[in-house]
Amino acid sequence: MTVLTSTRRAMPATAMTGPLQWTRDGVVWALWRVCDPVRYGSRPAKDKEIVRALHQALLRALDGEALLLGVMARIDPVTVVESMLEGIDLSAHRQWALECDATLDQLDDIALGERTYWIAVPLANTGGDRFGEPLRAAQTAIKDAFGMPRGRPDQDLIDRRLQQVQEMTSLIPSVLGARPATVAEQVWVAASAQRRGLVDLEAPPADPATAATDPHLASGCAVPEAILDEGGTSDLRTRRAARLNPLARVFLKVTDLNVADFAGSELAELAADVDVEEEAPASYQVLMAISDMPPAGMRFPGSEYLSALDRCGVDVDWAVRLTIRNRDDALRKTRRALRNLNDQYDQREGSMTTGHHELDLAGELLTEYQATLAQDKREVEVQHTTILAVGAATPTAAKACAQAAARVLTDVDITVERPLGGQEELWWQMLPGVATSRITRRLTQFTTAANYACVVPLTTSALGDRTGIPLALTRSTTRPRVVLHHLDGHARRGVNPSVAVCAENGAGKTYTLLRLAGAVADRGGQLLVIDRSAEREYARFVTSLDDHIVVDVERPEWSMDPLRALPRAAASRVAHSFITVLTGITNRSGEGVAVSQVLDPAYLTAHRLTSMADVVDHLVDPACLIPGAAGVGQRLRNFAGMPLGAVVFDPDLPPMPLTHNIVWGTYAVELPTAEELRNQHLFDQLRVEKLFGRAYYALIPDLCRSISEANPDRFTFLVCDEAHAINSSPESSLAVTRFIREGRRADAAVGLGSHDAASDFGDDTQRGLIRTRILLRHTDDTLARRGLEFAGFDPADPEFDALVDTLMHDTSPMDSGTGLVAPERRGEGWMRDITGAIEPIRILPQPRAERAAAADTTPGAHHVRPRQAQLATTAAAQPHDAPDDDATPTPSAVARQLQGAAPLEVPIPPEAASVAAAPAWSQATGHRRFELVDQSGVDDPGQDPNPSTTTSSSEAVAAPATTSTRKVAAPVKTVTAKTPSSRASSSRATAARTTTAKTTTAKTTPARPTGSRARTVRAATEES
Amino acid sequence: MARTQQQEDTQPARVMRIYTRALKVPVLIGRVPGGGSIPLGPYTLPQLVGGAVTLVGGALTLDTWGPLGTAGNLALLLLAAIGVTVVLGRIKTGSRNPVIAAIAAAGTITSPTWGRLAGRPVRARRPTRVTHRLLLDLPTAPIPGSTLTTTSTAAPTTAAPTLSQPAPTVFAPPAAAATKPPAAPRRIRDWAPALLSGRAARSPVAPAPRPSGAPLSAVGELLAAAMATEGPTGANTSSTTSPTSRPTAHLQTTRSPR
Repeated sequence: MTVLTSTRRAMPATAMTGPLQWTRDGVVWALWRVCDPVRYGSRPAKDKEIVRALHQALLRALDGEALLLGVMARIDPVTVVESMLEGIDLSAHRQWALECDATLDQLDDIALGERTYWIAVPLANTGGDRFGEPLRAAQTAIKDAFGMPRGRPDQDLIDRRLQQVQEMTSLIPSVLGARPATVAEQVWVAASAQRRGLVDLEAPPADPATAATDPHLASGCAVPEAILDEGGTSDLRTRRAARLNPLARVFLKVTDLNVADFAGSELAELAADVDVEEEAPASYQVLMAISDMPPAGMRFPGSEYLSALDRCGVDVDWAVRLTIRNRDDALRKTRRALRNLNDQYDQREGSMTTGHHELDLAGELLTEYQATLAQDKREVEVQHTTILAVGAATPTAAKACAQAAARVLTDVDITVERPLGGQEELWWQMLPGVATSRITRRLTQFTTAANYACVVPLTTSALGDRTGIPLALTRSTTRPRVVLHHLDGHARRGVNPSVAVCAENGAGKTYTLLRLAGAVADRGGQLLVIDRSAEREYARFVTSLDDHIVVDVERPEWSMDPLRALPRAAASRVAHSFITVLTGITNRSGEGVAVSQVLDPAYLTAHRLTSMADVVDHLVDPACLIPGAAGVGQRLRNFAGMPLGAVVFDPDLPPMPLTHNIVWGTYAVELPTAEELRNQHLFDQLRVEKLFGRAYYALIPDLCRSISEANPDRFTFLVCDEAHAINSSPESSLAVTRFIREGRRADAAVGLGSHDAASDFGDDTQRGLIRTRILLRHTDDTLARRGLEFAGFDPADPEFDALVDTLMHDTSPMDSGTGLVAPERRGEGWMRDITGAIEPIRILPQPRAERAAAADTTPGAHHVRPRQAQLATTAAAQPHDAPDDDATPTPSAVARQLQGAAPLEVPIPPEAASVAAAPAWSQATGHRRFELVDQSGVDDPGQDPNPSTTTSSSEAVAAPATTSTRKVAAPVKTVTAKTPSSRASSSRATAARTTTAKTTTAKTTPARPTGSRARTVRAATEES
Repeated sequence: MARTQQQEDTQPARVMRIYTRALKVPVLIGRVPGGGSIPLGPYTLPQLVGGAVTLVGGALTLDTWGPLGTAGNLALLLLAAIGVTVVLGRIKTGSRNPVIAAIAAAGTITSPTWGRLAGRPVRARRPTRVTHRLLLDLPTAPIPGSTLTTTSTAAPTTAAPTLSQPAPTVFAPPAAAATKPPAAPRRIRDWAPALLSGRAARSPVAPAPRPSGAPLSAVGELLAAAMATEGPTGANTSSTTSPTSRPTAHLQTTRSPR
C-alpha cells in the first residue's frame, strides 16, 4: 500500500526566501526563472546546432537532480500596449494614443500566451546541514502539529543557501538569462498548477528590476492548498455505481478554494459555465508521462518534441524531472546492464522465436551507449522523466485536450502513458520542492547530455523587439505572441533599421508597409513615400494621417522645386544634380559650367532667382551673358513646358512643406529600361517623358536625403514600394543605397517592397545591410526559393523544400473559386528580425477601421457597399475619430482631388468591417480554453452555436520527423472556442462601439485591472 | 563555448538516441536457479508470483473451498493458477507492474469522497453550533470610531443585557461545507467575519467578506474596536471556543492541521 500512501502529501514549502524553498522533507530547493529562452523557431540548421550545444552545456552544469518546468502563461494585451507606449509622449502623439486604444480592443479577442521556463534544483545538504535540515523540518512539523508559529530560518542559513544559489547561477549558460526567482514567482508556479485550464494567469514580470526585493515567507498560507480528488469522486456522490469504473475517470480534480480571490470577475463567468451546484470551480487535469521513445532515435533538427506541444492546439504544461549522473556511474550501470542482458539471453533460450530481436536491439544500444561515454570524458548521463499536464473546466474537455496533446507525441512514435491511479502522484511530481517519487523513477528514460540537448526545451517563438510597433502575430504556436518592431529605435541602438518586404503581387507587401508607415507617422516620425501605384494606394492612405501632402506629377498641387522647398545651400546642390540628369549635360562642358555658375547660391541671391522657373527664364534671357546658358535654358524650357514638368517648374504651386508626411505619386512617370540605359543609340532616342522620369526619380531620393539630414532628431521612414523601379535607374538606386548605408546616422530607414528577392533589393551589400526581412506568399518556385534564401533560410537544409512548398501553397492561400484570401489568413509569411530569428508570422491588420479602410489595396474594395451604410459603419466604428479629418492641415484642393480619384467616404470593405465588429481572423488563433470536436461535426451539447467562432487552427507546421523518414504534420482539428469571457468581451466590444466614446471607457475600464498607462490612453481618447 | 562545440560536431545529421531499452531490459524468467527450463516459459515476475501465490494459497485453503475430490480440486487449482498466469501475462499496464496498477486502480475506487486536502481526506462534518459566553467590561470613555460614542452613558446599560445573553450562533463552515449545503438553519451575523478571520487559515472555505456598504451591528462594532485596541479596555471574554481572543495576524500564520 505504499503506492497509495506515497501520494498523500501537503504542499512541500514550509518557508520561502527569494529563490529558496524550505520543504517538509528537509531539503532546500532553489528556483530559477529562464528569462531569455533562446529564439529558435525556423532558424537554419547551423544555428539550431548552436542552440543544442547551449542546452548540452546547461545539462552538464546541472549535477544531480533538477526539475525543468514549462508553464503556459497569458500575455495581457495591456502589457503589449504598455510596450507600445514606452518612450512615446502621448500628449504630443494623439494619433498613437488612438492606435494604442484600438490595439487594446484588437488584442482583447486573441488568446495571447507564452511559455515560461523554470529550473528547480534541490540544493545539496553539506556539512552540518546534513543533519540540521532534516531536524529543522521535523521541528516545523511538530510546531505545525501543535499550532505554534513557525520560525524564520536563521540569516546565516539563508546566506549560506543564497551562496549556493549564486554558484549555481554562474554555471547556467548566461545566454538563457536565468535569474533566481522571487517568492512571488514561487507562489505563482505553485498556484498555476492548481488553476490549470481554469484561470488564465499572467506570469509575474520577468524584468529583474521589478522583481528585485522580496519578502521572506515563513507562513504556508500564501501558497494555496488545493483539494485533490483523483478520478473526480466528489462528482459521483449521487452515482455510486459509476465509481466502480475507474478507467473512465483517469483525471485529477483540483479544487483550489482560493481561486475566487484571484480570478475576480472571471470566476463569475466560469461558475455560470461550469454546472457545479454551489461548488468552487475545479480544474480537471489529465497528467501524462512519456514512457517510451522511438528506439531508432529522432533526427535533429526535428526532435524538439516539447516545442511541438506548443502547436497542438491546447495549452500543455510540462515538467522534466532530471537526474544527471557522471560518466563513471553511467559506465558502471552499463556493466550491470550487460550482465542482465546476457542473463536474459540465457533465460529466454528455450522460447519459441526466430531470434531475440529485443535483446539484440538492447545490445546494439548498449554498445553505442558505452562507446559514446567512452569517447567524451565530459559526457554525463541524463535520466529524464517528462510529465505533461493539461487542464480544463470539465473532465470531458480535459480528456479531449489530453488526446490532442498526446497525439503530437504519438505521431512521432513517442509513447505517452496516462497512469490510472497515478494522476495525483504525477501532479505532485510537477511541483518544485517535491522529492522524486517511485513513478518518476519507473518512467525514467536514459540518455546522454548531447542527446537530450536535441530536445532543446528552453526555446521561444518570440520575435521582434520588446517595445515598438505591433506589426504581426507569430503563427508557430497555439497561443500567438505579438511581434513588436521598434523601427524608429533601431538606428539609435546602432542597428540598420531598414526593412525589406518580398512577396508576389497581392500577397500583402503594401499591407505590411502601410502598417509600418502609419505607425511611424503616429509615433512622430516623418513618412516619405514613393507611390508608383495607379490606385494611389499610399496617397489614399496618408489622408488618414496628420500633416500630409501628396505630390502628384499628373495632378500637381504642390511644387517640388528644390530651390523653393529646400534651404539655399542644399537647394543649389539638388537643383544642379536634377538639371544635370534632366538635360544630360556634363559638368565639364560649357553648359555644365554655366549651370553651375547660375546655381551658385551667391549668384542666385544676387539675381533674385528663387525658383526653377526663375532659373530657366534667366538662362534664356539675353541679359544672361554666361556662355552656353541659352542652350541649357532652351532645353529646360522644353521640359518645363511639358504637363509633367509643372511639378517642378510651375511657380504658382505652393512649395512642399518639408516637415509633413510626403507622398510622391509617380504612376505617370516613365523610366528608361535597362536596355536603353546600356545602349547609347537607344539612350539617344529616349522620349522626353522618360528623360524627365529619370531626372524626377533621381530628384526624390535627393530631396529625401536633404529632408532627413535637416531633421536629424526625427526618425525618417522612406517607403519605396515596387523597389525594382527605383533600382533600375542608377541615379535613384544610388541614392537609396546611400540611404540604407548611411541612414542609420541620420536616424532614417528605408522600407522596400518588391517581388524578386535576388535582384530587386539592390546589390549584395545593400541586401546584406537590411536586417529586417519579411517574406510573404510566392506561388512561383524560383521566386519562392530566392525569397526564402533572402529571409535567412539555408537552401542546404533538409526542410528547405518543404518550406518552399508551404510558402507556395499554404501561406495566405487564395480560394480557388474566388481568388481571394480568407480574411483570417491575410498577411501570412515569415519574418527575420534584427537578431536573425525567423518565425512564421501574420501581419496584424490596421486596428482602426478608418485606417483599415484607407489601407485596403484590394482592387474594387472601395466600391463594394452603399455609401450610407458605409458612412454609418465608419461613424459607429470610431466615433471619437470623427473630428480628426478636420484637424489635419490638408490643403482642401488636394483633398478634393483625392476624393475625385478615390472616394474617401466610402472606404469600408467587408473585411475591414468584419475586423471592426468581430475580428474573424483573430479567432483562428484560438481562445482561452478549447473544446475539441471531431471534424465530422459531432453534436456537442456545449458547443457554441455561433458558426463564426468555429475556425480551423491547423497551421500545418512541420512536426518533428523520425529517422524512419516518417513525415508527420501537426494534427488537424477543429477548435471551437467556448469561452464565456471571450464571448463577453467581444459582445462588450461590439456594444461599446455602438455607443459613445464615454460609454466605451466606462464599460471597459473596470475589466482592466492593470496598466496605468494603458488607462491613460483611454482617458486621453475619451477627452478627445 | 557553443561555437566550439558546433565546430566539433559538424556531423552531417545528428540523431537523438535514447538508451532506456539497453538499460531497462524486461526481466523474463525461463529457468529455475538449478538450470532447468520452466515449461512454456519464459514468464514475467508478476506472472510467476501470481501463479505461485494462487497455487500455494489455494492448496493451503483447499479445505475451505474445495468442492470436488482431492484430484478434482488439485486440477481446478492448477487450472486457476494457469489462468492467473495467462491473464497476468496479457494485461497491458504500460510500463507498470500489473499488481501495482491494480492497487492504484483500486485506490481510485476507494479514494475519499471529497478528495484530499494537505494529504488528509476531506470529511463532510455536520454543521456545529458555536456558543459564546461573553462578559464585556465596557469602557466609559468613547471608543474611537464607534457610532455609539454619543450615547456613552447609556452604552453599559443597553449593551450589557445583550451580551449577558447567550451569544448569537455563528455558523463556522467545516471543511466540506463549501461543497454541501448545511442542513441546519444558519444565521451569519454581520460581525461573523471578525471572528471567522481567525479561522480562515484553518478552514478551506474563505468566509464571505462583509458587503462594503453594510454597517456593523452594535455588538460587532464594540468587539471589533476591542480587538483593534487590545489595550486596557480590551474585552474580557470567556467562550466555549478560544479563537476570538487571539490576534488575527497570529492565527493566520499558524496553519494547524485539523
